Parts: sequence; C-alpha cells; structure tokens
Amino acid sequence: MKRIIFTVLAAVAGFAAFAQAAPTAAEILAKVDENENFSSIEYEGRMELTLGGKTRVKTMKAVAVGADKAYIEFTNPEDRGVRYLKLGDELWMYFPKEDDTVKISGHLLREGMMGSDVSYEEALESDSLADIYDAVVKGREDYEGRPVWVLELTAKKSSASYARQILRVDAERFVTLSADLYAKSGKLLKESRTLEVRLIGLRWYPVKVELSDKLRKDSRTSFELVSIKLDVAVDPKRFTLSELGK
Amino acid sequence: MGTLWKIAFRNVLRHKRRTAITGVVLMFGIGVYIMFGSMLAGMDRMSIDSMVDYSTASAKVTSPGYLETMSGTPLDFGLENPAAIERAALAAGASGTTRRTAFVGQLSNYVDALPVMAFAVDPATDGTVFALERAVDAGEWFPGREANEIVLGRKLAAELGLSVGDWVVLSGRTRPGAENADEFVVVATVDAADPQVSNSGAYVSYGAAEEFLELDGLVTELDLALPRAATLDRALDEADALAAALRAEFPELSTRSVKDQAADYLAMRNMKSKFSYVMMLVVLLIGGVGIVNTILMAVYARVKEIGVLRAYGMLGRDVKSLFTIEGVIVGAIGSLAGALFGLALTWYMVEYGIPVGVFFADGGLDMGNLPLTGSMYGEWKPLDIVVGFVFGVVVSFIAARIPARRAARLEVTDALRFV
Repeated sequence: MKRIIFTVLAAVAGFAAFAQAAPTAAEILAKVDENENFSSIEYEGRMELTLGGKTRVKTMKAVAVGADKAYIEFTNPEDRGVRYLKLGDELWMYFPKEDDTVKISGHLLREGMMGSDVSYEEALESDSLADIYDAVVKGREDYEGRPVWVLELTAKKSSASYARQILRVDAERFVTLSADLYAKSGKLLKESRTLEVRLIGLRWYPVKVELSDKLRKDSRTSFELVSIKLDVAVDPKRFTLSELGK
Repeated sequence: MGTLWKIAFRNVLRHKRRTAITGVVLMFGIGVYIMFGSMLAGMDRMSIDSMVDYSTASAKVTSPGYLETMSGTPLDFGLENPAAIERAALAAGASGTTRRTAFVGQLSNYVDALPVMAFAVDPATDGTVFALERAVDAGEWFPGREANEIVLGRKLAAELGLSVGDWVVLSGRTRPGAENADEFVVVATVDAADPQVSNSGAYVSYGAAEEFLELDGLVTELDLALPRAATLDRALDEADALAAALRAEFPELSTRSVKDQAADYLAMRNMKSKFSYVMMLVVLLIGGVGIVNTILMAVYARVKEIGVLRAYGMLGRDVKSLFTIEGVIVGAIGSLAGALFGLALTWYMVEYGIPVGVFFADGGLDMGNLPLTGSMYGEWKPLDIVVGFVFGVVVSFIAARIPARRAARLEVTDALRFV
C-alpha cells in the first residue's frame, strides 16, 4: 500500500514539475518571435530552387526594417539587377532590362517568388503567428537530435493563409525547426525545415531553411543567409519607389 | 449608239479566245475576292462564336468592382440578386442564363502542378449558354456520383497524364483568402474549339465549390445566351440590344455584350476587312491590265478597219465609244462569271466548310486564339458579290478607255496605210 501511495505521489510530483517547467504555447511563440523578429536586417542570401531534379541558384542582397519594409536585389548573372520593394502589404518589382517597375497584385501574388516555392503573398505577410493563430502545445519530443516543443496552430480567422500549422520549436533555443502547413481540407501543402541555426549576438537565428511543396514531386527551395547583420542602421531612402528604379 | 453596241458585241464574239482569256482572269479575281470575303467573315464568326460558346456568352453581367479587378479573378465582388437579373434577361429575349464564378487555381498530380483558369459552374444550366457540355470528348458531364467532381480541358488533362476516373488535387484560395487544396475526380474532358479551355480550363460544380472556396453563395458573373443569329453582324447587334436592356434595368451593374468584350478583336477585324479591300484592288487591277491588253490588241489588229470606218465618216469619239463598249462587255462577262464563281465557292464554304482540325491539330499550325477544331464555314456576304461585280465593270470601263482613246486619235490615212 505504502509503495502504491509513494508511486502515485511521485507521479503527481513529476507531472507537477513538468507542468511547471512547460511553457505555454503563447510563451513559446513569444520567445520565437523574440528570436526571429528584428528591428532591421541586412544580409546576403543564396536561394537554391529545385524542381524535377534541376537546380537553379539565385543570390541576392537585402535589407529590411521590421516586417513592413524590405528591399531585395538579385545578384546572380541571370537575374542581376532585378529588385523587389515591399512596403506594408504592397510589393513592387523592378526589371532592369526593360527599366520598368511593376506592382505585383491580383493572382500574381500567388505565384512563386522568382520561381521558388515561396509565394509573393507569403513574402508579404507581416503579422506575427500569435496574431493569426491560436496555439496549443501538443507535447515535447526529439527532432533531429534536438528537444522540441510541438505546437499546433489553428487559424483564428478564415483569412489566414493556412488553416493549420504544426510547428516544432527548439525547446532550448526557441527557433522553429520545422513547420507543416495544412490547407483547410486538412491536406499538407508545404513543409518548412530549418537546416542550420546560428547564434547571432544573444539570439539564435535560422540561417538555412528549406521549403518543399508537397503537391509537386521533388520541388523545394532552400534559402541560406550567407552573411547577416541584425539591428543595423538602414537608410530609409532605400525603401522608396524612386530608389527602386535607380 | 445601237449600231455601236451591235458592232461591239460582234467584235467581242469574233475574238472569242481573247475575250475568254480576259473574262477568265476577271472571273478568278472576282470569284476569289468573294470567297475570300466569305472566308474572312466565316473566320470572324467562328472566333466570335467560340468566345460566345466558351467565355463571353452573348452578354455577361458582373458587379462593377469585379470588372475593374477581373484579371485577378477576385472572389470579393458578387451579384446580390442573380435571380432577378435572370428573370429580366429572359424577359428581354435571352434564350438561356447561367451562373459562373471564376477563380485561379492550381492542378497537381503530386508530380507536377499547373496553373488553371477554373470556374464554379451550374451543371444544370451551363449548357443553355455555353457549349462546354457538348464539347465533352470523354466521360460524363458532372454525373454527381462523387462530391468532388472536375471537368478538364483535354490538353490540360493530357499534360498532367490524367484520364477520366483519375483523382487530381485542385488548390486555390478560399473567398476569405485561405489556401485550400482537395482531391477531385476527373469525370470528363472537353475538346473545345477555344484553345484556352482545352489548354487550361478546369470546371467544378457550385456544389463542390461552395465548400472548397467557402463561396457562401457568391456568384461573380451571370452569363446570357441569345438564339443563334443568321449573320455575325446581327448576332452582335442583338447582343448589344440585350445588354442595353439590362443596363437600363440594372444601372448599378456592369452588363457587357460580346461586342463590348471582344472590342479588341472586332477592331482587328475592321482592319482586316480594309486589308481585304486592298487585296481586291490588286486582283481587279490585274484583271484591268488584262482588259487594257485585250483592247490594245484589238486596236492594233483592227487599225485598217478603224481607218475604213473613219473614211466612211465615223467620228473619233464614236471609235472611242466602240472600243470602250467592247471593254465594258468583256468586263461585264468576266465580272458576271466571277460573281457566279464566287457564289459557287461561297455556297461550298457555307454548306461544307473547311476542316480546320486537319491543319491545326496537335503539332500543327499554331493560330493563337483561333478555334482549333471542327470546320471553318463561310458566311454569305451579298454586298461583296455586288461590289465585286460593279468594281469589275468599272475597272473594265476605265481600262478600256486608254486603248479606245488611242484608237480614236489615229489619222485615217495612217490607219489605212498601217501594215
């Protein structure tokens, strides 16, 4: 009898300890936001687009302030000089050969950016996950050698791009290591995997991410931040249409 | 003048071979012109029919907001009371009405994915306006055995390696803006005259689209049909009249006839018809040169005869009139034969047509948005027949004046001594 009582008490104590240690989904998302959001960023990136066994490489330089302003210029030979400017929920593209600036709108927003698996719409999203989704912690597990919290995100509004997401967040570094993106019907549409994280200053930051389209065979986009500076001073002129066409 | 006509007729009949050669040149020129006009009108009719049958209908009603942003096929602007518009359209002479909601989607077989121009359609009424149901070449038009059924353009299905009975993933944005993707069974493929339908058309029923796109009853366009008119111009005018009647009743909506929707194409058509007049001019000028040659030959062959006529007291202007009348008679015979020849060619084009599928089949000629299947029929163009005939006679008259004037100027003594 004593043994049974001791076992039950030990189990309750263990559960209580776990419950005390386990952060809530909101806390986890807040820590992820703290890590992954920045006041400003300047980076050189490398994008590998793989479709049907063929891989194309694109390189770019970019600066961004918060989630609302971003400027990207492609530097690989095929796309040299192609530029994007994001201002809030609007996106412009500059074509150097035609010396023409075009606003990306309508159904074009659903197209993959420069042929990648990332749509322009996804590139434009600026709300934090906590604003768009209700989150619950589904458990804790090991994922590719790292302890992770498994979060299930359910869209608060029917306008959210994905009805449901499953995130695996590094339990110690609070970086999203994987995200499964589901349609309203429950079908898995895309998978995102963080392939490399780096300690930048005091925060862990994902520097290599791979996104795969689950509706196409062998279609994936990997994005690598080759060099990165966070929270740097950026000239606000960079985010103007007149600068885009220069 | 009666004597001159008699002499002219006799001369024309005396030189049968020359008359025949010139007449045949004119006959071919005018006949081909009439057939060419019929064929161009037939191509126009076929192109406009294809638009009416597969996309524009005779008239289309949308909200103004939808019209402004139509290229993005938004699910933001619907028609508030489509039933009332349908009733008004039927009262204004429409022979059928159907509802459609266009959306941009992507079709995936899990190996490849292609963008598609997708429509939510009403399977029961779509056939009263559009020809899609009649263009089914495999399978069955929405049999209703599965909840999620899709009809695909034949080439689109082939590109994704899909056949009737296969399942395919259709993805698209819901009305509120969320990504959605679901599996649909291919119940039919359509081999439509409109290449856009065959290449990228995907159609689901409103029943399936309601849930898939969270439409909540949204209808973005109401399409209206009219009974088939005898000629293209009449079809366009009747469509305009129907659109005008609905605009008067529903000024807050955007009602566009096929004439409005195909404005660019019709502007091109007008340019094309001007070009056809240039072609006709070239053809008839060739005929005119033939007439000049024939009359000149007649003048040189009959110089001594002219000298005798002048010696007997015939005036220079009578000689000029004689040769002019001869030219006009040859021209009139050729033009009449040309008009009859053109009539026969047009009759063949109207009755039997030319099978375009043979030329434009897979791997064949790429003709842009021209319909690729079936036969191309001609249209009756009575005005072209009249214009061809009159133009032929007028050109003959002008062409005959040049050698006739030359004959009139000949001196009697020179003409009598001419070897």
